[in-house]
Amino acid sequence: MACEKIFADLKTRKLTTIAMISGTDAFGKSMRDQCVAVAPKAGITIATEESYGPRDSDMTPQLTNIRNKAGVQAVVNPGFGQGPAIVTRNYQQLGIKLPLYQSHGVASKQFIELAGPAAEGVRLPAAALLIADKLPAKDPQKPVVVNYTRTYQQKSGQAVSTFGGHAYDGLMILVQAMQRAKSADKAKVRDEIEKTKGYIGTGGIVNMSPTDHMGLDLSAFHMLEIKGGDWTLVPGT
Amino acid sequence: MAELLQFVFSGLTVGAIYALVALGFTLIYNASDIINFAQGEFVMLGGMTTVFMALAGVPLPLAALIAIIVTTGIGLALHRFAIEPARGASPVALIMITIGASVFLRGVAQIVFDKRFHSLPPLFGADSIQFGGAAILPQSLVVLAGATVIVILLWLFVERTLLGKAVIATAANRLAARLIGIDTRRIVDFSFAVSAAIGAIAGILVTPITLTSYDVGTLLALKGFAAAMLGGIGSPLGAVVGGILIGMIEALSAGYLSSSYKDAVAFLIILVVLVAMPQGLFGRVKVERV
Repeated sequence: MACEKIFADLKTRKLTTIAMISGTDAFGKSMRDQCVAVAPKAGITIATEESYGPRDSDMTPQLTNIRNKAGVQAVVNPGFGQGPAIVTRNYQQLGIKLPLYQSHGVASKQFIELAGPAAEGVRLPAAALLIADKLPAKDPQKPVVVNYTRTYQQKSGQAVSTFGGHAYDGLMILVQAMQRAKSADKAKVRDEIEKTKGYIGTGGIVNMSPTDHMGLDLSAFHMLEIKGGDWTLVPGT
Repeated sequence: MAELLQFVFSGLTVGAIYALVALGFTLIYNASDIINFAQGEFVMLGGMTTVFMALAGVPLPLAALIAIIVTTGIGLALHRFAIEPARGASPVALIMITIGASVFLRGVAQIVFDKRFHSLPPLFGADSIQFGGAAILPQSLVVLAGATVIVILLWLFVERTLLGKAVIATAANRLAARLIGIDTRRIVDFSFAVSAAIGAIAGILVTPITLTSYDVGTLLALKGFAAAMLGGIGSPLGAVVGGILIGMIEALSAGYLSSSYKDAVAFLIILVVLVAMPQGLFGRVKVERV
Protein backbone atom coordinates (compact mmCIF):
# COMPACT_ATOMS: atom_id res chain seq x y z
CA MET A 1 0.00 0.00 0.00
CA ALA A 2 2.86 2.33 0.77
CA CYS A 3 4.27 1.46 -2.66
CA GLU A 4 0.96 2.35 -4.27
CA LYS A 5 1.01 5.73 -2.53
CA ILE A 6 4.56 6.41 -3.66
CA PHE A 7 3.81 5.34 -7.23
CA ALA A 8 0.69 7.53 -7.31
CA ASP A 9 2.80 10.51 -6.26
CA LEU A 10 5.42 9.67 -8.88
CA LYS A 11 2.75 9.63 -11.58
CA THR A 12 1.52 13.05 -10.46
CA ARG A 13 5.06 14.35 -10.91
CA LYS A 14 5.24 12.60 -14.31
CA LEU A 15 8.08 10.28 -13.24
CA THR A 16 7.73 6.72 -14.48
CA THR A 17 11.15 5.10 -14.39
CA ILE A 18 12.65 4.44 -10.98
CA ALA A 19 15.50 2.66 -9.26
CA MET A 20 15.05 0.83 -5.98
CA ILE A 21 17.60 0.37 -3.23
CA SER A 22 16.25 -1.92 -0.52
CA GLY A 23 17.39 -3.17 2.84
CA THR A 24 17.65 -6.95 3.07
CA ASP A 25 15.91 -6.95 6.44
CA ALA A 26 12.38 -8.38 6.64
CA PHE A 27 10.64 -5.02 6.24
CA GLY A 28 12.81 -3.83 3.37
CA LYS A 29 12.54 -7.09 1.51
CA SER A 30 8.80 -7.43 1.94
CA MET A 31 8.16 -3.84 0.86
CA ARG A 32 10.46 -4.29 -2.12
CA ASP A 33 8.52 -7.40 -3.17
CA GLN A 34 5.25 -5.50 -2.85
CA CYS A 35 6.57 -2.59 -4.92
CA VAL A 36 7.72 -4.93 -7.66
CA ALA A 37 4.29 -6.59 -7.66
CA VAL A 38 2.24 -3.36 -7.98
CA ALA A 39 4.60 -1.47 -10.30
CA PRO A 40 3.20 -2.68 -13.66
CA LYS A 41 -0.37 -1.81 -12.68
CA ALA A 42 0.73 1.64 -11.51
CA GLY A 43 2.58 2.22 -14.76
CA ILE A 44 5.99 2.42 -13.13
CA THR A 45 9.09 0.79 -14.60
CA ILE A 46 11.83 -0.35 -12.24
CA ALA A 47 15.03 0.24 -14.20
CA THR A 48 17.49 -1.19 -11.71
CA GLU A 49 17.62 -2.54 -8.19
CA GLU A 50 20.28 -2.56 -5.51
CA SER A 51 20.31 -3.80 -1.95
CA TYR A 52 22.25 -3.31 1.26
CA GLY A 53 22.53 -5.14 4.56
CA PRO A 54 20.60 -3.51 7.40
CA ARG A 55 23.84 -2.88 9.30
CA ASP A 56 25.97 -1.61 6.44
CA SER A 57 27.71 1.68 6.93
CA ASP A 58 28.30 2.82 3.38
CA MET A 59 26.02 2.50 0.37
CA THR A 60 27.98 4.60 -2.12
CA PRO A 61 28.80 1.70 -4.49
CA GLN A 62 25.11 0.86 -4.89
CA LEU A 63 24.13 4.51 -5.29
CA THR A 64 26.92 5.05 -7.80
CA ASN A 65 25.51 2.24 -9.93
CA ILE A 66 22.06 3.79 -9.68
CA ARG A 67 23.42 7.20 -10.62
CA ASN A 68 25.11 5.74 -13.68
CA LYS A 69 22.01 3.91 -14.92
CA ALA A 70 20.48 5.84 -17.79
CA GLY A 71 16.85 6.91 -17.62
CA VAL A 72 16.33 6.71 -13.87
CA GLN A 73 14.04 9.54 -12.77
CA ALA A 74 13.57 8.84 -9.06
CA VAL A 75 14.84 6.49 -6.35
CA VAL A 76 12.76 4.56 -3.80
CA ASN A 77 14.36 3.20 -0.63
CA PRO A 78 12.37 0.54 1.26
CA GLY A 79 14.10 0.03 4.55
CA PHE A 80 14.07 0.37 8.30
CA GLY A 81 16.38 1.55 11.02
CA GLN A 82 19.69 3.23 10.32
CA GLY A 83 20.07 2.04 6.70
CA PRO A 84 17.78 4.67 5.15
CA ALA A 85 19.54 7.43 7.12
CA ILE A 86 22.90 6.34 5.72
CA VAL A 87 21.45 5.95 2.21
CA THR A 88 20.08 9.49 2.43
CA ARG A 89 23.43 10.87 3.60
CA ASN A 90 25.33 9.01 0.88
CA TYR A 91 22.75 10.25 -1.65
CA GLN A 92 23.68 13.82 -0.83
CA GLN A 93 27.42 13.10 -0.71
CA LEU A 94 27.32 11.73 -4.24
CA GLY A 95 25.39 14.79 -5.35
CA ILE A 96 22.44 12.84 -6.76
CA LYS A 97 19.68 15.32 -7.49
CA LEU A 98 16.86 12.90 -8.40
CA PRO A 99 13.81 12.78 -6.11
CA LEU A 100 14.29 10.32 -3.25
CA TYR A 101 11.38 8.48 -1.68
CA GLN A 102 11.67 6.82 1.68
CA SER A 103 9.20 4.40 3.22
CA HIS A 104 7.09 4.69 6.34
CA GLY A 105 9.85 2.73 8.08
CA VAL A 106 11.55 6.06 8.73
CA ALA A 107 8.48 7.82 10.11
CA SER A 108 10.13 9.24 13.18
CA LYS A 109 12.02 12.45 13.95
CA GLN A 110 15.13 10.37 14.51
CA PHE A 111 15.46 9.86 10.78
CA ILE A 112 15.59 13.62 10.21
CA GLU A 113 18.14 14.00 13.01
CA LEU A 114 20.39 11.25 11.73
CA ALA A 115 20.19 12.12 8.05
CA GLY A 116 20.68 15.81 8.79
CA PRO A 117 20.49 18.33 5.95
CA ALA A 118 20.49 15.47 3.45
CA ALA A 119 16.86 14.76 4.40
CA GLU A 120 15.62 18.01 2.80
CA GLY A 121 13.20 17.29 -0.01
CA VAL A 122 12.85 13.59 0.76
CA ARG A 123 9.27 12.35 0.40
CA LEU A 124 7.61 9.48 2.21
CA PRO A 125 4.14 8.07 2.78
CA ALA A 126 3.15 8.30 6.41
CA ALA A 127 0.16 8.35 8.68
CA ALA A 128 -1.53 11.62 9.59
CA LEU A 129 -0.03 11.45 13.07
CA LEU A 130 3.22 13.07 12.00
CA ILE A 131 1.52 16.20 10.72
CA ALA A 132 -1.24 16.43 13.32
CA ASP A 133 -1.17 20.22 13.55
CA LYS A 134 -0.97 20.73 9.82
CA LEU A 135 -4.03 18.67 8.92
CA PRO A 136 -6.97 20.56 7.47
CA ALA A 137 -9.59 21.27 10.16
CA LYS A 138 -12.25 19.09 8.50
CA ASP A 139 -10.05 15.96 8.57
CA PRO A 140 -11.83 13.37 10.74
CA GLN A 141 -8.51 12.13 12.06
CA LYS A 142 -7.49 15.54 13.35
CA PRO A 143 -9.01 15.38 16.86
CA VAL A 144 -7.64 11.88 17.43
CA VAL A 145 -4.09 12.60 16.33
CA VAL A 146 -3.85 16.01 17.99
CA ASN A 147 -5.05 14.51 21.25
CA TYR A 148 -2.63 11.59 21.01
CA THR A 149 0.29 13.88 20.16
CA ARG A 150 -0.39 16.15 23.11
CA THR A 151 -0.79 13.31 25.60
CA TYR A 152 2.30 11.49 24.31
CA GLN A 153 4.51 14.55 24.40
CA GLN A 154 3.36 15.45 27.90
CA LYS A 155 4.00 11.97 29.24
CA SER A 156 7.24 11.19 27.49
CA GLY A 157 8.76 14.52 26.50
CA GLN A 158 9.58 13.10 23.09
CA ALA A 159 8.23 13.70 19.61
CA VAL A 160 5.62 11.22 18.39
CA SER A 161 6.36 8.58 15.84
CA THR A 162 3.86 6.54 13.88
CA PHE A 163 5.12 3.37 15.55
CA GLY A 164 3.70 4.42 18.91
CA GLY A 165 0.51 5.44 17.12
CA HIS A 166 0.15 1.99 15.56
CA ALA A 167 0.52 0.37 18.97
CA TYR A 168 -2.11 2.72 20.39
CA ASP A 169 -4.53 1.93 17.56
CA GLY A 170 -4.01 -1.79 18.00
CA LEU A 171 -4.69 -1.60 21.71
CA MET A 172 -7.80 0.55 21.26
CA ILE A 173 -9.26 -1.70 18.58
CA LEU A 174 -8.76 -4.67 20.89
CA VAL A 175 -10.33 -2.87 23.85
CA GLN A 176 -13.35 -1.77 21.84
CA ALA A 177 -13.80 -5.27 20.42
CA MET A 178 -13.66 -6.74 23.90
CA GLN A 179 -16.23 -4.22 25.11
CA ARG A 180 -18.55 -5.12 22.23
CA ALA A 181 -18.06 -8.85 22.78
CA LYS A 182 -18.58 -8.38 26.53
CA SER A 183 -16.07 -11.14 27.18
CA ALA A 184 -12.44 -12.08 26.74
CA ASP A 185 -13.21 -15.26 24.89
CA LYS A 186 -10.74 -15.49 22.02
CA ALA A 187 -13.15 -16.49 19.27
CA LYS A 188 -15.73 -13.87 20.22
CA VAL A 189 -13.16 -11.10 20.48
CA ARG A 190 -11.73 -12.02 17.08
CA ASP A 191 -15.17 -11.90 15.54
CA GLU A 192 -15.74 -8.46 17.02
CA ILE A 193 -12.38 -7.19 15.81
CA GLU A 194 -13.31 -8.29 12.33
CA LYS A 195 -16.46 -6.18 12.63
CA THR A 196 -14.56 -2.98 13.42
CA LYS A 197 -16.02 -0.26 11.25
CA GLY A 198 -15.18 3.38 11.04
CA TYR A 199 -12.65 3.32 13.87
CA ILE A 200 -10.73 6.58 13.60
CA GLY A 201 -7.19 5.90 14.72
CA THR A 202 -3.81 7.60 14.47
CA GLY A 203 -2.96 5.41 11.50
CA GLY A 204 -6.12 6.03 9.54
CA ILE A 205 -9.78 5.02 9.46
CA VAL A 206 -10.08 1.32 10.07
CA ASN A 207 -12.73 -0.87 8.45
CA MET A 208 -12.03 -4.51 9.01
CA SER A 209 -13.66 -7.60 7.56
CA PRO A 210 -13.08 -11.36 7.77
CA THR A 211 -10.88 -11.14 4.67
CA ASP A 212 -9.25 -7.77 5.46
CA HIS A 213 -7.37 -7.75 8.72
CA MET A 214 -5.59 -4.49 8.06
CA GLY A 215 -8.62 -2.33 7.47
CA LEU A 216 -6.80 0.63 5.99
CA ASP A 217 -6.92 1.95 2.48
CA LEU A 218 -4.83 4.44 0.56
CA SER A 219 -6.43 7.38 2.35
CA ALA A 220 -4.64 6.31 5.53
CA PHE A 221 -1.36 7.45 4.02
CA HIS A 222 -0.49 11.04 3.33
CA MET A 223 2.51 12.00 1.24
CA LEU A 224 4.89 14.01 3.36
CA GLU A 225 7.94 15.99 2.38
CA ILE A 226 10.75 16.91 4.73
CA LYS A 227 11.30 20.68 4.69
CA GLY A 228 13.32 22.71 7.13
CA GLY A 229 13.94 19.68 9.31
CA ASP A 230 10.22 19.01 9.80
CA TRP A 231 7.40 17.08 8.19
CA THR A 232 5.16 18.96 5.74
CA LEU A 233 2.09 17.71 3.93
CA VAL A 234 2.28 17.54 0.15
CA PRO A 235 -0.94 19.32 -0.86
CA GLY A 236 -3.75 17.16 -2.15
CA THR A 237 -2.53 13.82 -0.78
CA MET B 1 36.75 5.58 -14.26
CA ALA B 2 35.09 7.87 -11.76
CA GLU B 3 32.99 4.99 -10.56
CA LEU B 4 36.03 2.79 -9.85
CA LEU B 5 37.42 5.62 -7.77
CA GLN B 6 34.11 5.90 -5.91
CA PHE B 7 34.13 2.17 -5.18
CA VAL B 8 37.73 2.47 -3.96
CA PHE B 9 36.77 5.36 -1.67
CA SER B 10 33.83 3.37 -0.32
CA GLY B 11 36.13 0.40 0.25
CA LEU B 12 38.59 2.62 2.09
CA THR B 13 35.82 4.02 4.29
CA VAL B 14 34.41 0.66 5.29
CA GLY B 15 37.85 -0.95 5.38
CA ALA B 16 39.23 1.67 7.72
CA ILE B 17 36.38 0.93 10.12
CA TYR B 18 37.09 -2.80 10.02
CA ALA B 19 40.83 -2.12 10.42
CA LEU B 20 40.33 -0.04 13.53
CA VAL B 21 38.10 -2.71 15.09
CA ALA B 22 40.53 -5.48 14.07
CA LEU B 23 43.40 -3.71 15.83
CA GLY B 24 41.62 -4.28 19.13
CA PHE B 25 41.97 -8.03 18.78
CA THR B 26 45.74 -8.05 18.35
CA LEU B 27 47.03 -7.02 21.76
CA ILE B 28 44.87 -9.38 23.80
CA TYR B 29 45.72 -12.20 21.42
CA ASN B 30 49.40 -11.35 21.68
CA ALA B 31 49.35 -11.39 25.45
CA SER B 32 47.17 -14.39 26.09
CA ASP B 33 46.11 -16.29 22.94
CA ILE B 34 42.50 -15.31 23.63
CA ILE B 35 40.21 -13.95 20.93
CA ASN B 36 38.15 -11.37 22.77
CA PHE B 37 34.70 -11.42 21.18
CA ALA B 38 33.59 -8.62 23.46
CA GLN B 39 35.82 -6.31 21.41
CA GLY B 40 32.80 -5.18 19.37
CA GLU B 41 31.08 -4.14 22.59
CA PHE B 42 34.11 -1.98 23.50
CA VAL B 43 33.61 -0.17 20.20
CA MET B 44 29.91 0.22 20.97
CA LEU B 45 30.58 1.47 24.50
CA GLY B 46 33.05 4.07 23.23
CA GLY B 47 30.50 5.50 20.82
CA MET B 48 27.38 5.23 23.00
CA THR B 49 29.01 6.58 26.16
CA THR B 50 30.29 9.61 24.26
CA VAL B 51 26.83 10.22 22.76
CA PHE B 52 25.09 10.00 26.12
CA MET B 53 27.65 12.14 27.93
CA ALA B 54 27.28 14.75 25.18
CA LEU B 55 23.47 14.58 25.46
CA ALA B 56 23.84 15.18 29.20
CA GLY B 57 25.68 18.39 28.43
CA VAL B 58 29.31 17.38 28.74
CA PRO B 59 31.51 19.03 26.08
CA LEU B 60 32.41 16.59 23.33
CA PRO B 61 36.21 16.18 23.91
CA LEU B 62 35.63 15.56 27.62
CA ALA B 63 32.80 13.16 26.82
CA ALA B 64 35.13 11.22 24.52
CA LEU B 65 37.80 11.07 27.22
CA ILE B 66 35.32 9.84 29.81
CA ALA B 67 34.07 7.22 27.35
CA ILE B 68 37.61 5.92 26.81
CA ILE B 69 38.28 5.77 30.55
CA VAL B 70 34.98 4.01 31.27
CA THR B 71 35.53 1.45 28.51
CA THR B 72 39.09 0.81 29.69
CA GLY B 73 37.70 0.18 33.16
CA ILE B 74 35.19 -2.27 31.75
CA GLY B 75 37.95 -4.04 29.83
CA LEU B 76 39.95 -4.40 33.04
CA ALA B 77 36.86 -5.64 34.87
CA LEU B 78 36.25 -8.17 32.10
CA HIS B 79 39.71 -9.58 32.64
CA ARG B 80 39.69 -9.47 36.42
CA PHE B 81 36.22 -10.87 36.99
CA ALA B 82 35.56 -13.10 34.01
CA ILE B 83 38.81 -14.26 32.43
CA GLU B 84 41.29 -14.32 35.29
CA PRO B 85 39.29 -16.64 37.56
CA ALA B 86 39.09 -19.13 34.70
CA ARG B 87 42.70 -18.83 33.64
CA GLY B 88 43.37 -22.53 33.71
CA ALA B 89 40.65 -23.28 31.21
CA SER B 90 41.24 -24.06 27.57
CA PRO B 91 41.35 -21.17 25.10
CA VAL B 92 37.99 -22.26 23.66
CA ALA B 93 36.35 -21.95 27.08
CA LEU B 94 37.89 -18.51 27.54
CA ILE B 95 36.61 -17.43 24.14
CA MET B 96 33.14 -18.57 25.14
CA ILE B 97 33.44 -16.48 28.29
CA THR B 98 34.18 -13.44 26.15
CA ILE B 99 31.12 -14.20 24.02
CA GLY B 100 29.06 -14.39 27.20
CA ALA B 101 30.54 -11.07 28.32
CA SER B 102 29.62 -9.57 24.94
CA VAL B 103 25.97 -10.64 25.35
CA PHE B 104 25.97 -9.31 28.91
CA LEU B 105 27.40 -5.92 27.92
CA ARG B 106 24.87 -5.64 25.10
CA GLY B 107 22.02 -6.35 27.52
CA VAL B 108 23.27 -3.81 30.05
CA ALA B 109 23.70 -1.23 27.28
CA GLN B 110 20.03 -1.58 26.32
CA ILE B 111 19.02 -0.65 29.84
CA VAL B 112 21.61 2.00 30.63
CA PHE B 113 21.40 3.69 27.26
CA ASP B 114 18.46 3.06 24.95
CA LYS B 115 17.63 1.13 21.83
CA ARG B 116 17.76 3.94 19.32
CA PHE B 117 20.37 4.95 16.83
CA HIS B 118 22.64 7.85 17.58
CA SER B 119 25.29 9.79 15.79
CA LEU B 120 28.21 12.01 16.62
CA PRO B 121 29.25 15.10 14.70
CA PRO B 122 32.12 14.40 12.31
CA LEU B 123 35.45 16.00 13.17
CA PHE B 124 35.87 18.02 10.01
CA GLY B 125 32.37 18.67 8.81
CA ALA B 126 29.85 16.59 6.91
CA ASP B 127 30.63 17.81 3.39
CA SER B 128 32.41 15.21 1.36
CA ILE B 129 35.67 15.88 -0.39
CA GLN B 130 35.31 15.67 -4.16
CA PHE B 131 38.27 14.14 -5.93
CA GLY B 132 38.43 12.90 -9.49
CA GLY B 133 34.63 12.76 -9.75
CA ALA B 134 34.22 10.72 -6.58
CA ALA B 135 33.34 11.73 -3.05
CA ILE B 136 34.90 10.70 0.24
CA LEU B 137 34.01 11.85 3.72
CA PRO B 138 36.74 13.63 5.70
CA GLN B 139 35.80 11.36 8.60
CA SER B 140 36.91 8.31 6.57
CA LEU B 141 40.36 9.85 6.32
CA VAL B 142 40.28 10.51 10.07
CA VAL B 143 39.51 6.84 10.70
CA LEU B 144 42.38 5.79 8.41
CA ALA B 145 44.73 8.21 10.14
CA GLY B 146 43.62 6.91 13.52
CA ALA B 147 44.31 3.33 12.48
CA THR B 148 47.77 4.30 11.17
CA VAL B 149 48.66 6.13 14.38
CA ILE B 150 47.59 3.18 16.51
CA VAL B 151 49.58 0.74 14.39
CA ILE B 152 52.69 2.89 14.72
CA LEU B 153 52.20 3.29 18.46
CA LEU B 154 51.66 -0.45 18.92
CA TRP B 155 54.76 -1.23 16.89
CA LEU B 156 56.86 1.25 18.87
CA PHE B 157 55.46 -0.17 22.09
CA VAL B 158 56.32 -3.76 21.23
CA GLU B 159 59.73 -3.04 19.70
CA ARG B 160 61.08 -0.26 21.87
CA THR B 161 59.69 -0.60 25.38
CA LEU B 162 60.40 -3.13 28.09
CA LEU B 163 56.71 -3.52 28.82
CA GLY B 164 56.13 -4.37 25.18
CA LYS B 165 58.80 -7.01 25.30
CA ALA B 166 57.20 -8.39 28.44
CA VAL B 167 53.89 -8.72 26.57
CA ILE B 168 55.57 -10.74 23.82
CA ALA B 169 57.36 -12.85 26.40
CA THR B 170 54.07 -13.61 28.15
CA ALA B 171 52.55 -14.68 24.86
CA ALA B 172 55.50 -16.86 23.94
CA ASN B 173 55.62 -18.85 27.14
CA ARG B 174 53.68 -17.82 30.18
CA LEU B 175 55.52 -20.00 32.66
CA ALA B 176 58.94 -18.87 31.47
CA ALA B 177 57.84 -15.26 31.68
CA ARG B 178 56.74 -15.71 35.26
CA LEU B 179 60.00 -17.45 36.08
CA ILE B 180 62.01 -14.44 35.02
CA GLY B 181 59.91 -12.12 37.14
CA ILE B 182 57.24 -10.81 34.78
CA ASP B 183 53.90 -10.36 36.53
CA THR B 184 51.84 -12.06 33.82
CA ARG B 185 48.57 -11.13 35.46
CA ARG B 186 49.44 -7.43 35.20
CA ILE B 187 50.50 -7.93 31.60
CA VAL B 188 47.19 -9.46 30.57
CA ASP B 189 45.35 -6.77 32.64
CA PHE B 190 47.26 -4.22 30.64
CA SER B 191 46.50 -5.83 27.31
CA PHE B 192 42.75 -5.90 28.06
CA ALA B 193 42.82 -2.28 29.18
CA VAL B 194 44.67 -1.08 26.09
CA SER B 195 42.49 -3.15 23.73
CA ALA B 196 39.39 -1.69 25.38
CA ALA B 197 40.84 1.79 24.91
CA ILE B 198 41.59 1.07 21.24
CA GLY B 199 38.01 -0.20 20.86
CA ALA B 200 36.61 2.93 22.48
CA ILE B 201 38.69 5.21 20.25
CA ALA B 202 37.51 3.20 17.25
CA GLY B 203 33.91 3.65 18.37
CA ILE B 204 34.29 7.40 18.75
CA LEU B 205 35.95 7.80 15.35
CA VAL B 206 33.58 5.61 13.32
CA THR B 207 30.25 6.66 14.86
CA PRO B 208 29.92 9.75 12.62
CA ILE B 209 29.92 7.34 9.65
CA THR B 210 28.25 4.16 10.89
CA LEU B 211 25.87 5.57 13.52
CA THR B 212 25.76 3.67 16.80
CA SER B 213 23.25 1.74 18.83
CA TYR B 214 23.39 -0.86 21.56
CA ASP B 215 23.96 -3.73 19.13
CA VAL B 216 26.45 -2.43 16.59
CA GLY B 217 29.10 -4.48 18.36
CA THR B 218 28.02 -7.81 16.93
CA LEU B 219 28.55 -7.25 13.24
CA LEU B 220 31.57 -5.01 13.75
CA ALA B 221 33.27 -7.66 15.87
CA LEU B 222 32.54 -10.31 13.25
CA LYS B 223 33.95 -8.28 10.39
CA GLY B 224 36.83 -7.03 12.51
CA PHE B 225 37.68 -10.56 13.55
CA ALA B 226 37.56 -11.72 9.94
CA ALA B 227 39.89 -8.84 9.04
CA ALA B 228 42.27 -9.77 11.85
CA MET B 229 42.30 -13.42 10.77
CA LEU B 230 42.89 -12.46 7.15
CA GLY B 231 45.78 -10.21 8.04
CA GLY B 232 47.24 -12.62 10.53
CA ILE B 233 45.98 -12.46 14.06
CA GLY B 234 48.48 -10.88 16.38
CA SER B 235 49.95 -8.56 13.78
CA PRO B 236 48.78 -4.93 13.95
CA LEU B 237 49.86 -4.26 10.39
CA GLY B 238 48.01 -7.40 9.36
CA ALA B 239 44.86 -6.17 11.09
CA VAL B 240 44.90 -2.92 9.13
CA VAL B 241 45.75 -4.55 5.81
CA GLY B 242 43.12 -7.23 6.40
CA GLY B 243 40.50 -4.63 7.25
CA ILE B 244 41.16 -2.49 4.20
CA LEU B 245 41.29 -5.57 1.99
CA ILE B 246 37.90 -6.80 3.17
CA GLY B 247 36.44 -3.31 2.79
CA MET B 248 37.74 -3.08 -0.76
CA ILE B 249 36.47 -6.53 -1.71
CA GLU B 250 33.04 -5.68 -0.35
CA ALA B 251 32.82 -2.34 -2.12
CA LEU B 252 34.07 -3.70 -5.45
CA SER B 253 31.70 -6.69 -5.23
CA ALA B 254 28.78 -4.42 -4.41
CA GLY B 255 29.69 -2.17 -7.31
CA TYR B 256 30.64 -4.62 -10.02
CA LEU B 257 28.92 -7.89 -9.11
CA SER B 258 25.81 -7.67 -7.01
CA SER B 259 25.11 -5.82 -3.80
CA SER B 260 23.22 -8.82 -2.41
CA TYR B 261 26.33 -10.99 -2.40
CA LYS B 262 29.00 -8.61 -1.22
CA ASP B 263 29.22 -10.13 2.24
CA ALA B 264 29.36 -13.60 0.75
CA VAL B 265 32.24 -12.66 -1.55
CA ALA B 266 34.23 -11.17 1.31
CA PHE B 267 33.83 -14.23 3.49
CA LEU B 268 34.57 -16.55 0.56
CA ILE B 269 37.90 -14.81 -0.01
CA ILE B 270 38.66 -15.14 3.68
CA LEU B 271 37.96 -18.86 3.53
CA VAL B 272 40.25 -19.27 0.52
CA VAL B 273 43.10 -17.35 2.16
CA LEU B 274 42.78 -19.26 5.39
CA VAL B 275 42.82 -22.59 3.60
CA ALA B 276 45.92 -21.61 1.62
CA MET B 277 47.65 -19.64 4.40
CA PRO B 278 46.14 -20.47 7.81
CA GLN B 279 48.27 -17.93 9.58
CA GLY B 280 46.88 -15.11 7.46
CA LEU B 281 48.86 -12.67 5.37
CA PHE B 282 51.24 -11.31 8.01
CA GLY B 283 50.87 -13.84 10.78
CA ARG B 284 53.64 -15.74 12.42
CA VAL B 285 53.75 -19.39 11.47
CA LYS B 286 53.51 -21.42 14.62
CA VAL B 287 56.34 -23.88 14.76
CA GLU B 288 56.36 -26.53 17.39
CA ARG B 289 59.56 -28.29 18.25
CA VAL B 290 58.98 -31.93 18.89
